[in-house]
Amino acid sequence: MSKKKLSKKEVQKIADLANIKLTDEELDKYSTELSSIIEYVDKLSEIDTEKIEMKAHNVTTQNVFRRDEPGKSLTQDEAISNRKSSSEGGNFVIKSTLK
Amino acid sequence: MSYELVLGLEIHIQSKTKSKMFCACSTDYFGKEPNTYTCPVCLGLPGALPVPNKKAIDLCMKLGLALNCSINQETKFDRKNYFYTDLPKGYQISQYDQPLCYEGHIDLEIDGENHRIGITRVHQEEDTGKSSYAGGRTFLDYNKSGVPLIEVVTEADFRSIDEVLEFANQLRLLVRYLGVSDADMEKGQMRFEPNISLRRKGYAKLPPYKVEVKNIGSISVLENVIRGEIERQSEILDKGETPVQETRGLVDMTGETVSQRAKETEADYRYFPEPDIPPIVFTKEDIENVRKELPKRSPYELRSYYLDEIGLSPKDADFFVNDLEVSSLFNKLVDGKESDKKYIDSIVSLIKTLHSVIIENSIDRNFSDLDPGFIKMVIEEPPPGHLLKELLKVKIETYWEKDLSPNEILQKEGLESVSDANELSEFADKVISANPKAVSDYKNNPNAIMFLVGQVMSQMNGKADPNIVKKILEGKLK
Repeated sequence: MSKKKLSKKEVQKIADLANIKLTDEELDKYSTELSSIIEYVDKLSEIDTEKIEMKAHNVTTQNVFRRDEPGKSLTQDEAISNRKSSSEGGNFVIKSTLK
Repeated sequence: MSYELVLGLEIHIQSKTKSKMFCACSTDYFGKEPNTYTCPVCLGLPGALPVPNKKAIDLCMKLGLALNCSINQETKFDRKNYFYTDLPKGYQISQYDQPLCYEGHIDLEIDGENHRIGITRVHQEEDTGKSSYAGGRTFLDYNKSGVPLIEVVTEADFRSIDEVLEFANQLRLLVRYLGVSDADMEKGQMRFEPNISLRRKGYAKLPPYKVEVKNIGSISVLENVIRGEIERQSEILDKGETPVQETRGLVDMTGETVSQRAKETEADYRYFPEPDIPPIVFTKEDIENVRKELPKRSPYELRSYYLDEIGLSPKDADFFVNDLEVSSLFNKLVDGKESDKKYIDSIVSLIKTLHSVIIENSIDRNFSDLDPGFIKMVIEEPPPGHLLKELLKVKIETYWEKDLSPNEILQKEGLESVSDANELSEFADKVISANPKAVSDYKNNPNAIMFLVGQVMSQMNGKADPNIVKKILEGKLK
């Protein structure tokens, strides 16, 4: 079990992947908080899984498919109605994502 | 210093399905109003449940088998997490460690020499939405989000630009021929991403870096990009430095590129099994059933058969090779008569007419299922030229499975043509006496006869061959 605390650098990397900005204080705060979450989840490693087959799913269902038949879509108004940003010509409009 | 190219390709191909990969939205989005082909699944709204499109899975397997891949009997979807606005879910549903197809190859013949290119994997995923940029803002349209996308990944086996171009052309031909995709590059249905690096000639190890160029939608731009990279990387290597591992984007269609971002490593995508889609398990029989649908000849073999043994023009050969349905009907009709030039010419012309009837009337039929016997009858006893298209149209729309001869169909539809000379002559006389002005126009302008032909046709409700009517009128007006 790891008692290792996440470094600020590691937290920064996670923040970059999630595209969010964190202040220095937040980096400190989250390195402590995230470390305790990892520690909690690490409890799972205590279980002996030596003889358990590795699986991606624990469901017995398999091969759930759709036939290739087009159905109804939302209207443009419905599609963009939940937006937080603005819209124009039926597009969602956000701040430029180009760097 | 002289260097050797070390190149691998990733190719994204939009599958030819009617509905999206995980929802029932139509894939006919091109040129449509933004955000009119979306639903909770492809907008990534919470609680929506993706369900895979069986046709798309079959097409992906078909392409994998045609590329000599093995098929994973147990496969699954995974989430590839990355944060970008063209993916509203925050992840793309893709495949990670159990791709549908793996370890294949394609053999390229260049100047009589065989070059084998390894295929690492062929897997199924979904396309993203479309972003456009103007005035410091980004416009998002999710019509394309969730369209089935096949990713083909090759080994870094390409050593020359010629190999890359030959491969790109053959793959495009193959997916069209198999009906996997229309691969219309202008519409972004096929995109290339080369991973390009160089090493000193004679070295066997992979270079310690690679440069990926994203989203190239044209084979000629692909060529320019590779030429540009060879030049750029050679200059860096000549200075004794190593090019940076990075992703570059196109500046314009000349193939010039610019650094976009340091390449994400695989771990950054935090792949994990898509919990909403149960695993997929194929029996050996399932796989063999798809394999059975593969044509005996590859499109390249078929093309040389058309050119060398049947003597088609390159243009006609390409037309037939580009569509498995068309070529399959053509092959059935050739039926051992490769050297009968006249017969071949009439099938070529008839199939082209048939193809245009199907396109013009947006008919949704697999016309390789059309009874070849019917087509042979049409060739042996052709209907009057002006009735041919109409005959083919009603055959497909109304008499698809009915065993009627061309003449029987024409009769049933009231399309038979009056060829009785006396009857035609009577109508011609009537029209001539009723249109003195057109008759006098004709003396100065021979084209004016078409007006009179039109009059006769309309009086006879179209039941005449306009060419014969024209001859009769010309005879009378001499």
